[in-house]
Amino acid sequence: MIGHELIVWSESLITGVTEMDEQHRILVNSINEANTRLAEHVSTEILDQITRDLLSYALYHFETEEALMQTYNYSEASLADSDLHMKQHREFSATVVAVREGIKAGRLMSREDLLSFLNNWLINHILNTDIRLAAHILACRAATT
Amino acid sequence: MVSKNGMNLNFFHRYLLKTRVTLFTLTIFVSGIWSLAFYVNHLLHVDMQRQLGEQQFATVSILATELDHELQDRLQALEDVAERITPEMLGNSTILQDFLEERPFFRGQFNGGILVLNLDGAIIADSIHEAGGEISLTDSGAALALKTGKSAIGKPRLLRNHPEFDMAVPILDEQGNIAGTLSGVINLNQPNFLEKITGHRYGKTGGYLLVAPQYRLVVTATDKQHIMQALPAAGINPAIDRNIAGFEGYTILTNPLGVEELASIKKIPVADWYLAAVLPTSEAFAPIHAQLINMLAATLLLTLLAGSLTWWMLRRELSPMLSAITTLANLSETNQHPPPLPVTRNNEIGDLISGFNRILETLGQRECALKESETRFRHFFEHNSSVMLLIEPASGEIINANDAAASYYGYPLAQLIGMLTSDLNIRAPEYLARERMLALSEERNYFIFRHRLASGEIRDVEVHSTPITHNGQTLLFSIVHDITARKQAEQEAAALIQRNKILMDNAIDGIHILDEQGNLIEANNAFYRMLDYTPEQARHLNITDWEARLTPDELSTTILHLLSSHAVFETVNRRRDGSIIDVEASAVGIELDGKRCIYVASRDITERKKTENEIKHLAFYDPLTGLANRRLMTDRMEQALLHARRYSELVVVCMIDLDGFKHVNDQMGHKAGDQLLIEVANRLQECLRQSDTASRFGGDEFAIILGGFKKISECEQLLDRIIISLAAPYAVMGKIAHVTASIGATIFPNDGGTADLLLRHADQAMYEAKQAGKNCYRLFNPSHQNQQQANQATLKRIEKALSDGQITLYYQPQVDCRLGKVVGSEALIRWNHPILGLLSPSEFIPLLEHDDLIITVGEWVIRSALSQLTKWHTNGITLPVSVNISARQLHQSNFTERLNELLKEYDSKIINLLEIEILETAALEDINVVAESIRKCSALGIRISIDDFGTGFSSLAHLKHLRVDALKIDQSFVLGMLHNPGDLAIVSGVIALASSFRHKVIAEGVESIDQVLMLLELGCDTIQGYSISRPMPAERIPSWLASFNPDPLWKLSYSHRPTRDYFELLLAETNHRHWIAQLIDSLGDPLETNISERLDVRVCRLSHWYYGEGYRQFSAESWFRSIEPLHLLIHQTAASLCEHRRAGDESAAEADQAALSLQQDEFDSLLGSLRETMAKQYLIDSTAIAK
Repeated sequence: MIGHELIVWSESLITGVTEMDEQHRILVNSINEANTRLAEHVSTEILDQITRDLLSYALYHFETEEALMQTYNYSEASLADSDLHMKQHREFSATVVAVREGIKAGRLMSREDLLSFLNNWLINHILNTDIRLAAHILACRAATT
Repeated sequence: MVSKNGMNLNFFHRYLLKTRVTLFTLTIFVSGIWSLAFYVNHLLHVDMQRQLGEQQFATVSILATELDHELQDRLQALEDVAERITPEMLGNSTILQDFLEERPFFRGQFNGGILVLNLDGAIIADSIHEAGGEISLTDSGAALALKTGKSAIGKPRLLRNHPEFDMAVPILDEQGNIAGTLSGVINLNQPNFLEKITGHRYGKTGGYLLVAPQYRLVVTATDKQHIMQALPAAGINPAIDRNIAGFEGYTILTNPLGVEELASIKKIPVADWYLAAVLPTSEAFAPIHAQLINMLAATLLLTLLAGSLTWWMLRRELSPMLSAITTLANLSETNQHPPPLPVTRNNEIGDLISGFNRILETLGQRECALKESETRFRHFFEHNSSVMLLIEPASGEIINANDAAASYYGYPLAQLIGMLTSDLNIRAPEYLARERMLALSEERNYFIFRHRLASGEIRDVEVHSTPITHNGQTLLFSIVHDITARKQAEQEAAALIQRNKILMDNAIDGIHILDEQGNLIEANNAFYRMLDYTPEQARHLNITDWEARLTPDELSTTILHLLSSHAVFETVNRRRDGSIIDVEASAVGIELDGKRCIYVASRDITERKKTENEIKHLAFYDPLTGLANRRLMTDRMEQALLHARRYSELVVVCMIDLDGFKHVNDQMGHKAGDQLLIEVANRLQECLRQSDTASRFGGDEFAIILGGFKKISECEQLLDRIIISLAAPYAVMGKIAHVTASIGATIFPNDGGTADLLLRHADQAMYEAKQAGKNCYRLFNPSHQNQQQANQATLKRIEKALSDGQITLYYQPQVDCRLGKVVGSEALIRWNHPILGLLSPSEFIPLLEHDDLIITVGEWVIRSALSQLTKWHTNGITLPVSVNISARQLHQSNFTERLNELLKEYDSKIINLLEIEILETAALEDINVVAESIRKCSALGIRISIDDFGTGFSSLAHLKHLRVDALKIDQSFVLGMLHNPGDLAIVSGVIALASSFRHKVIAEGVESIDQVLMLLELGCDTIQGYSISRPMPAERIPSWLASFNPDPLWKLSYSHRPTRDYFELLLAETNHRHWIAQLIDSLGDPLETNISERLDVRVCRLSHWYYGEGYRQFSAESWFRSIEPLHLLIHQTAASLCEHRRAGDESAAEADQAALSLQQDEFDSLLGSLRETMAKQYLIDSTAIAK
């Protein structure tokens, strides 16, 4: 995926878990917006704001997903998936923190690198990781109802 | 009796006719003759009167003229004499007497004598009497003459016992003055000149009268007894009054004695008298009377003659007719068919009798026919099963009845005949008599009665009654039918109908029945009233006439629907006048007389609808502008959203706030404000399309929904139009007002959510438009919003985490490695997140940086640190703690006051252990304020350090300005310094800087012993980082302190000279590693000079160490010699990589690159073990020394 292209929200990105999908959609919007803003101008301020927003949203979103994992005992069902999932979350946060550290030290990450990371991470995470969590959640929900 | 009466009458007539004709003829004849006679007589009378009158008047005129002359002559004579009388003579009566004596002729003219009177009326001379005597002068001519000075004739008077009058003239003296009078007296008893005329008779019995009208006296007359006789007073006899008034001519009058006279009057001018000739009419018209009597006698004779002749003539001519009448009269008595009458005359009467004969013949034939008819009738009558009666119309007596009647009524036939109808009929006899008359005159022949039977039972009957002639009598022939049963049934039906009618007519609903074509068959009053028709007008109505929504095309399907179901529905009806009403109706299919019909009950609900609509309007519309209110708006919005979802369209929700409306309201008043709002509403609606909705939420706040867009640019055009339209000037109450609009818009579905949320978003965008300078619109950015929401949520979480104790402080020790001593610690915040685990400050503190929450957190950190310091102090641990202060907190105007507040519970021992770390970037934001804050903190005994130093590019001037205790080298530089000469340069620069300003310097993020040793070598002794210790909870600090042992390697940098080689190798190694990394990274630019230059192994820094210091020290060691071939290989591989890159051989380059990485790793571990050996060697050596 090339960094400067906007993510097109499509059916393939829908996991079927409403809470997750809504937040994914917002995350996609946020990344797309970062894309548009960075297309105009790359500055410490914009990068700072974008990474901060990402951090904030990630925190918010990861909390939602990891809470769902706890609710549906994801680690018991599939410890490997659960660990991988959380690891990816941590990596995301760590990457964003690192990007911020770099910014602080005057090393601005290029738009392409940042977007490439964000887009790839998000798409990959949704398509490969979240989908498995969602399948588990949907299965649990179907079982209880 | 009748026939006898008729005969008497005929008899009377017979004679009367003749007599009447005679009398009538005579009356005309006699009255004619007599009228003629009287008329002729009258004419004669008038004519004779005229002739006699004219003749009489002529006579009297002549005589009057003669009398006048006589009187004038005498007056002339008197005047002649008077002229000769001188005044002297007047004074001497003797002379005067003599003078008179001398004139005998003169004296002879006056039989009563001549008198001379002086002015006093004294007799001076007298032809009869002696002079000097006196006589009464009253009314005398002398008196008049004296008075007037003219000649005069006096009033006739009785003087000296005889009637007389005088004529007098004045005697004048020489001067012409009256000196006396000369008068002559006429004695009327004595023969005098008047008698020449009055002495004669007129006719046999008539005469003359001389009258002095001024005195109403007869002067003289033919009959002497009339002399001096007074005339009747005025008013008694009008004819005489007329004469006195001056009438001249002839007239018929009645004299005072009551005798009718023909009189002619002529005036005598000299004396103002008149002469009248009178002739009694009995004498005057005597010839006419005689003639009249003769004429009457002749007329009477003629009358008698004519009467007799006429009577005779009539009697003769009428006798045949009379005999015919007698014959006929006799015949009618006998009731027999008359023989023909004898025709005796061949004239009109003969013809008349022939006519009679023909009539008699015809009558005879008819009578035969009638008899036959009567026979038939009798048969029909008697044997009929219907009840039949023959009734005498006047009395109501039943003349005849049939057997059916007898059996019906229950009377024997003989009894029934002779009864009166009133015996059967329960109505009053008078009423029945009237009804019979109606039947008789054939005005009515059908009656409904109630008849009483012999049993007493009362039955309803219908009676057909017609007049018939029966035996010459006009009777009523009545046929009676019993209709009791029928009537009862009718009554029951009527009662049923009546009940139904009551039900129908009193129903409030408009009940009606339609046939299969929708035609109105039946309806109640309520229905007619509802649609304003009279039943007549509604006769041919069809449902399409009043069902306003029903077209003729839909009629049949609608009818089918209504027939087949029981429907309750609301509809709209059209009244007769065209007005429309709302109607609620229920319809059901029914069967009526074998036909399918629809029964409908409908009700006018217009008022209810109206009320409902009003309530709806009140509930949904803004009363001022008539726009939708918030409630309706929300409703419409939901519909628009539904629609948009289905058709993938855009919906724009806008909030509009007027800029400057408050100003208009304040300056021009609320009324103007209201007007302006109305105008704004109008303009909004003009801009909008039909499907859009504008609403007012109150105040100057409007909202609009725009739907049906496919592109955002379309809505933007519309929003531009609205902005321009609303910004145009407003004419309000005769003044111009200006307002503009700030519009916030959000676009569905880009912004998803409920109507309420969309409105909130539009409101936020509107606020942004206001912020952006008003008179513009702003579109809401949903991702921005979501982000803000997420941020806000995070803030809330952090705040909650703080109060829930999820935020804690971890402490990371700082060690002076040269001294091998713990010198302090940094308090680091951690969020022990229940789900995400332990989060570092870099993961969440940035989210707080723009919120006051960071201050709360910062203060919490200070409080916790102080509390911890106190705790440790109590336990005998003295460990300074540095805390991080955010830029926001530092820049607070009351930063030091608040700090002071936090510190006040603690004594200086504790306070002196507190350090504050300020980010370099934060310090540089407002250097003066920060410098002041630093100064105040120092005054409080708090030390300050600049954190992350090197990231903010501080100038020396800045550093000089800030009185800080320490600089902390940013860990990113520490982290990179062993790979990146740039980082290393910064680190060494910072250390040098700190040293020159005599600040302490602390390195953070130190992770390896190599870094520690490098930092020590560079002159930074205080180290913080994983190589010393990870941050730890406060509880673990005491045990960590107790077990702390300085790393012996730390001494490498300064203890012994030879150990310097270690650093030389480390530096060389760092350089080499950096060069290889650069070589691998610089994919795009392989010819970069400083990289390719170093391909030559001889200029390599590592070679420099290897063949120099290293060779001197370790040439004996076997491991040392193993370095050289690997080093040379690396250079060869690097050169090959560059070669392949230059040649564009990517696969070969990639292979080189992979090989290079492996070789580098191998080289690193070789050098690592080399340095380890060197360190061991050093440790052994130093231990040996210590021993």
